[in-house]
Amino acid sequence: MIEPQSFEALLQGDEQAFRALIRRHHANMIAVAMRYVRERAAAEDVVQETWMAVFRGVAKLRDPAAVVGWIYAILVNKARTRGKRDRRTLTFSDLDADGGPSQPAVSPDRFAANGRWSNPPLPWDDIDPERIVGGRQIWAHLGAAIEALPPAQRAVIVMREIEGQDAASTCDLLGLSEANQRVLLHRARARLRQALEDIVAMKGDAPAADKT
Amino acid sequence: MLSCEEVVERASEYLDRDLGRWGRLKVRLHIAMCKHCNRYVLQLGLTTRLVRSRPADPLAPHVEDQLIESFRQAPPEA
Repeated sequence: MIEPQSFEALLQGDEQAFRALIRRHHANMIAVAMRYVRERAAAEDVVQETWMAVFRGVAKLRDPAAVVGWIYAILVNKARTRGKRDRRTLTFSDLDADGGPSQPAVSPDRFAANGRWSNPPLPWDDIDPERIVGGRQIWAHLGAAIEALPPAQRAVIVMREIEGQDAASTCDLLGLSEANQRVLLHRARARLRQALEDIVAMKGDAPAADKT
Repeated sequence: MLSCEEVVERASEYLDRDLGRWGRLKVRLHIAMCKHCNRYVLQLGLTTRLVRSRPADPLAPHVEDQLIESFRQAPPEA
């Protein structure tokens, strides 16, 4: 969501406003482009081309609420074209790539045959993980976990949680059915929760460290 | 009664209020009685909040400068 003043500044071609826009979205755009192209360098090309199109076209926009969706529509379009050009055909769907449609978000090993937890979630000591492991470290760890998600999960989590798009526009932009979008989002969150549990468990072994 | 495994699979929809009234009630009943699932759902919600509030990684300055340079050369059309 773009504030009205920044939107005005963009329309005026204000350089600082574009800097702010680039800082806010560039890395997220690369993450989404990586769903369509395999190489990081190709994703960077696609994002750069997208910015060119944004610089040229932004003055035509009327609605500040539509800016982010518009940018991603350009991006996905360019990334899709580039992906088709670069790769032999993609023969599996996003869900297959993520372990198949029936694969649960949490490993079945953690449940007994009756569906109850056999290896329940570790307590996070009823405090937020930020305090356990220290601010900077948790952001770095979480960032790495997001980057390690399968591409479609990563694209969905970026659009939904980081870019703040709703389910309907995320489906629209990424060409997903509502059901697939929901599954990808849930799997992504489950994996990220697991990543936090892992770091909490690690810190638990050395309780004296990093408490300050 | 839902099993823990079923609650976990519905946890995102529960947090996003995407379950119907009956589906929501079934999850609530379960987590009221099961501390592990209660913990799981709380942690999943906390994970989501952390993802949302994570500060963006700083961009390499040369990337930003290059983009701004091309912006200067291609000012927006009126």
